[in-house]
Amino acid sequence: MSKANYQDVQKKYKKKSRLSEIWRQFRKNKAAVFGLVVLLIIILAACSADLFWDYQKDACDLNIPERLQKPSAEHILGTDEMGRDILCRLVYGARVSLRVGICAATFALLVGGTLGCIGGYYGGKVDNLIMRVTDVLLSIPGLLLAIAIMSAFKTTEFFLALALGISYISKFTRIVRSSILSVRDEEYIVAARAIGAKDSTIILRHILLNCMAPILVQYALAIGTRILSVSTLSYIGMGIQAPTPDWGNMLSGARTYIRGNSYLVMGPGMALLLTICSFNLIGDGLRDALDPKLKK
Amino acid sequence: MVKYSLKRLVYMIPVTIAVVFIVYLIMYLTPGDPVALMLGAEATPELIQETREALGITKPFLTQFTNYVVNLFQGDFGVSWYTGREVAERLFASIPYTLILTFSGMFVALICSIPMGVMAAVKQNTPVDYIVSVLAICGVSAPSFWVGIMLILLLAVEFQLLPSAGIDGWTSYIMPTLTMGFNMLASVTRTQRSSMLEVLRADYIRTAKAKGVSNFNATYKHALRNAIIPAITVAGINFGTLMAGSVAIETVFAIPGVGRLMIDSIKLHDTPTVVGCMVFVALMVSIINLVVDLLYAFIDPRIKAQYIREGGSK
Repeated sequence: MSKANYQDVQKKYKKKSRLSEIWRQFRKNKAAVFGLVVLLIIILAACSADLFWDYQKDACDLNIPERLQKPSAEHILGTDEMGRDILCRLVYGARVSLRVGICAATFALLVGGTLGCIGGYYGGKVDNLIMRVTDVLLSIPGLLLAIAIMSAFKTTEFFLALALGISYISKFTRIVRSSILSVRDEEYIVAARAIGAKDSTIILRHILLNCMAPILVQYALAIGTRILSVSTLSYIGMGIQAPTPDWGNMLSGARTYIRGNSYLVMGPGMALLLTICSFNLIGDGLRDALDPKLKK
Repeated sequence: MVKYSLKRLVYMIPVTIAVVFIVYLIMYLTPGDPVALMLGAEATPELIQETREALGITKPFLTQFTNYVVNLFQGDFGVSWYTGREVAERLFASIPYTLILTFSGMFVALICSIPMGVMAAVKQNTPVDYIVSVLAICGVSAPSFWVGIMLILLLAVEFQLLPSAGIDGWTSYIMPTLTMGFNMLASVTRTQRSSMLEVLRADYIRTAKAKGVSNFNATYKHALRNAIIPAITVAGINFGTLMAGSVAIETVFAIPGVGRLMIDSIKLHDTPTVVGCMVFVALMVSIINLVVDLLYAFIDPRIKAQYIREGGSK
């Protein structure tokens, strides 16, 4: 075996073993595995919705003759106040929630992460400016900031994701900045600088890879909280608008009819609870799996 | 100590101005004409223009913003663009509802979560611990407006014990308070449990037990005092979230609080009222953060010493 080939194999083996070690730790946490399974089921259901239903006809159009039917063989979760199958709307609602939640969290991670990197690595005046702005944004509760931003935008999925993303940027800025500060003056960073590595290489390859754990955990938790905020905004009428199915606006539509029709609020509520729960469990599981202190 | 608090209070001034700037800017960029909304469909273009000028909406953004800030620091929240009356009037009328709700929710959460967290830590890996953990994860994940609806179904519709919406005597606050408390209960319980677990294994607890301190005293006198700080931090940090969450809870229970006022005003493009609500929330969050920081000093003498050092050096 040539030397280059040997290094290649060694590299591959090492990479795999690190990931499999994390997976091994993650698997030990039963609650986290439960969360992962639930999430996969929800994603699978959301992806395969078109096989069973027609989006426009079943999830959006009115069907007054069949309104407010209790759960039966034909409609497993019953029909809502407009006569639409609740299960069908739940599944299409999952698409909206996951899409907006993941996009918002990713946007916040990218923007907040970049700002945190710049502030943490370079320090000085730039850092000071970024942190002051972050302080101000943190003194406005995220949900209220998102509501205010939504008032300036049209209520579409894109703007909803943007508003919920912007309101979470400051959290990521803080986390990324503090993780960078904790390793910035380590010897291996000084060494990398001494051999003339570029700043971008040092930040991306040496620093970020070493403080991935808290950022990843926060990302998983962020998706959960973003989905919660999507539904809250839709519930108070500042998010996804009817007839587009969303768990939040399904609950607000059902609010007037709950007397005698309690099944109306069970489905969307349980869907929200399970989805957010699964992200929280996965986040907790990742935290334990990635924490080097717990490794034996 | 006093110096430290004063410094923090002074720091709130630029934060408030920045909050006003952000919210005012967002509202300024919001499409739609508040005056046309206020005057209705029959208003003539001349009347609309006149009213716009009278309210000062035609002025450029920076002038409007500066005027607002100058007035705000004289205690004037401006005039509502929708009702034409003082913003302060409606704002101060709705503040009590939100404050009662938030503080009672926080109180319920704290008196339930700290014993629960301690119990879960003391009886680690027993059914008690598991039940507390499941409750906590559900509390973090359940949307508060849904919890509110479920409570209404159970206590107002099924058993008809409590009024389902509106404010009519103190019984109307029970369900909103429980809803609010449930959410916060979870995060405080989790923190209390993990910090308690850490402290229970500390050397000084072992020393205390070796000296013959009873198990009860070691847990509740020696350990709890040290383990309670992270729980209070989390409660403080969550105060803002709790206040923001009151928007949804006030909607569910039809409570005329600050959250409701803000949502209604946003829909009407009533900028002065929206900014007023936001300023109130931001100030409350800053003040609570300060109170939490000062609370540490009472609980932990080490932190008190630090504040005094910092305050004295500058």
